[in-house]
Amino acid sequence: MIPANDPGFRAALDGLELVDHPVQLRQRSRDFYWYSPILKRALDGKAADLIVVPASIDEVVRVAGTCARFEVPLVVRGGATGNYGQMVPLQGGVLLDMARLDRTLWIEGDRGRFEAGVRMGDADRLAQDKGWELRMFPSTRRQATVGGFVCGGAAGVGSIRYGQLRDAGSVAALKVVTCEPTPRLVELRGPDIGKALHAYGTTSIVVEVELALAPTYPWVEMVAAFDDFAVAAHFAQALGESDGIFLKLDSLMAWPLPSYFRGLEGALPDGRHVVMIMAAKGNVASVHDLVRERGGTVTLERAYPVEAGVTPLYEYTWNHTTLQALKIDKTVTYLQTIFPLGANIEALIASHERFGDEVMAHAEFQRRFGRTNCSSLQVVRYTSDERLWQIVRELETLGITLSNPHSYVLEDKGARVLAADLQLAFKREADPMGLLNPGKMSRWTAA
Amino acid sequence: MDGGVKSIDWAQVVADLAPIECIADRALVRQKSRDFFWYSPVLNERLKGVRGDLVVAPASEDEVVRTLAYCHARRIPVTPRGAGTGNYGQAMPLEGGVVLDLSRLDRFLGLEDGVARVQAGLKLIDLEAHTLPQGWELRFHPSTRRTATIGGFVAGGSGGVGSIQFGGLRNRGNVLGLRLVTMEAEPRILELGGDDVMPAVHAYGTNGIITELAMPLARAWPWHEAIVSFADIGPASAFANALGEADGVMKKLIAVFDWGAAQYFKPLLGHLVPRQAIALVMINDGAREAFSSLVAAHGGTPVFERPYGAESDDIPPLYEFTWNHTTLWALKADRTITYLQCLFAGPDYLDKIARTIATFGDETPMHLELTRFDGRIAAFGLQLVRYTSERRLYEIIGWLESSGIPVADPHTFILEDGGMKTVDEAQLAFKRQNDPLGLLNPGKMKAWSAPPCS
Repeated sequence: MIPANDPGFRAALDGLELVDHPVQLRQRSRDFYWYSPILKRALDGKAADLIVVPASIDEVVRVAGTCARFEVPLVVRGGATGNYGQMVPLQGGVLLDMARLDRTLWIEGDRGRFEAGVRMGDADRLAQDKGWELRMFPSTRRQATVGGFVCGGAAGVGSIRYGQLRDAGSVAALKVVTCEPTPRLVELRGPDIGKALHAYGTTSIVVEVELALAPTYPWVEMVAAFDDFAVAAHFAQALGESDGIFLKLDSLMAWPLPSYFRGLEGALPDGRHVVMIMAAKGNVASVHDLVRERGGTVTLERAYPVEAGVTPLYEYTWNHTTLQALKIDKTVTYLQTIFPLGANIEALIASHERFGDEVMAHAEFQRRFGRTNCSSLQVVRYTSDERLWQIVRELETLGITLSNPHSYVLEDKGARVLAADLQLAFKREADPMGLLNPGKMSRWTAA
Repeated sequence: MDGGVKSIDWAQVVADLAPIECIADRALVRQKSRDFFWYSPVLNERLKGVRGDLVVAPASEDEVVRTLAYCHARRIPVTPRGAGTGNYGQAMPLEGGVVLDLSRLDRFLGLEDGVARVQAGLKLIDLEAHTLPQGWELRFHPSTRRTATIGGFVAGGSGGVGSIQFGGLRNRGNVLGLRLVTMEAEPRILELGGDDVMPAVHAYGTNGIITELAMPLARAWPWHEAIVSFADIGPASAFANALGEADGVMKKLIAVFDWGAAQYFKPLLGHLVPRQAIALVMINDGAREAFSSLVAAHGGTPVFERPYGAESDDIPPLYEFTWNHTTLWALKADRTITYLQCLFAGPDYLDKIARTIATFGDETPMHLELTRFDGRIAAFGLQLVRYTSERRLYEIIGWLESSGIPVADPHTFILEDGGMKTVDEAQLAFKRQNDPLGLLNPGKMKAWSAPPCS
């Protein structure tokens, strides 16, 4: 393998925007993996040897071909808002920063096509100008890119209505560049999207993303507070199951998680569990009725988008919840778990009762297979790796399974064997030398 | 048979109510006293002679108030009417009296933040003519969208095209506000919001006259109509369920028919494969590729598709083959046919459907309308019935109910018997407050007519 600072390799990239300042290399090779003390140990110090910032798909093709000819590892970077080192280069090489591939190609009907480097927030705003919006976005909407989200994300704000990114119909197409001496441009549609979706860029380089959009609604942010955790949990589930209430967000946080949140003073009463909600404006009264029926109190109600300078409610949800806690207490970390369909609330309540404040319940409600389920991003008071894995084992006895956020290995994020097989087969075609994001796909490494 | 109210000088009533529009012509009054009750041979026998004495057609809420005060003073029954597209005699005046035709209260009052304020007599198609240019549509509508009124739908309907996204009228949030006139010496005008609307929703106008509604709308999608053919109803139902559960594909309609029902869809026959089951669907345009993959995975064959709104004279919108229109197509070909309304719900709902088909076969050709029900996918069965006798009909109903398949009996005009068969205490209490003399649509609310405790 030739190092990325090899003069011949550099010459082959002549004319492209290159960055090799050591501080830049170190800073831009990181994501939010430091949420995890385990990943922090594993990934601190990992960095690319060279950053290339292509301005066009032609330039991406040039970089991919050059890396293939010189056998240099290549890792793609979007907004670097992942949490598991999805884009951290384990073996150095080139970091392909997609920031300049930021053109919105078209927004027509109920779909939009974007270059991979378009930021989610920009895509959302441009769609809104035409009466549409993103079906779902991560809490990192402002920084994350469309390409990064489809390669490293799974769901987000909007999933309570529109399900998961991997659900057929969520992503309409991906255009990818293969990593071969003469790279090919391949348009993936239909079931083939799975070859590159949530593959951390190990199978090909995603350069264009065609997303299904949703029609815009006037949204209202609301917080409902409850004395009792079980009541709050049942409320959040009932809200998600209310077919007549149109939602964008339904997030449950057990006390003391709200005590870490700054900027929502007055909306987070001491000792109370909260549900953060985004509802269509027309259904706000319906949410009030359900809150009242369940004995809760609405502590916040305001229009979305929020005024400049105000933190939107979604920046307390999904992976931002842990970030808000980490801002106050550097010792916490988190888990990411999947709940049994139909028994999720019982499992959630049982885990809250068993662990109390050590594992602060945080559940994101979302549509799965036509029903309301939740996944959880519990915030954990970390003491040791041993204790963390013991908690995981105990959660498993409650039917709660881990989608391990303390691993950078692709296949550790929930067992989706069919997708993993599809991705491995595609990698053999599209990245025969295994140069793309090496070390992340365990099936390839093993083979 | 004359109307039920004797000793009233109807010419005097007309004169007293002037200038409120009244229709006394016998043929017209009879016509405006009827709905589609004749779908049911049972109701046909019982209701065919029912007629009011006078149709009153107020043009404003003030005229509604005047009419009610007048009728209250003279103890004249009043039965409200939208477009008369109900199927159970909801709007039929069992005891004669005044038929209150609300179709002239047809103003569109405004659209703000996705909530439409409208008068009760506005037709659904005209409501959408106002809102579609602004990008909004009804969350769901009955198959009679082109004729039914919004007030009639809320007072007498339950769900329809779009319920696969939003559930039904019974779900919190699907009716946001009602303006209601009471039947008292001095009628009050009530403004109901939130959960308070519930006692007046699907109450057949027995506890107040709805004059205005606040309806939450949905943002309009570019919809695409499709018909998919399957070897059998089994795979067709499995496909329909999978489509219902596919969260990335938006849908407004998923209806399934076996050939026994589909054979009556005359305008579609050129596209259908004889003896096969079909699914009629409306999906969002952008999901057509995902939809095709799902169709292929379930062994279906697409036989027809077009953008919604592009219907020709030959083939009406596909929704006009679904919900209660299905039975109408069958009745056009065979007057002996009737139908049922049941709910296949729960984790084993596809098994319940299969067991029903295995038990009754072509005696009840299957027709399913998929819906969201309590946050999950379920199916309403509106199976056709090759009718032989009332006794046999109730044997079938008995089998369904004892098999865990609740029946909303469409062969009764009794409010409770057409639904959950239990007294809705809130609905009854609301009637006591608003119609203490029991003059509104008399004979429909069993809890009122025959109080259970007395």
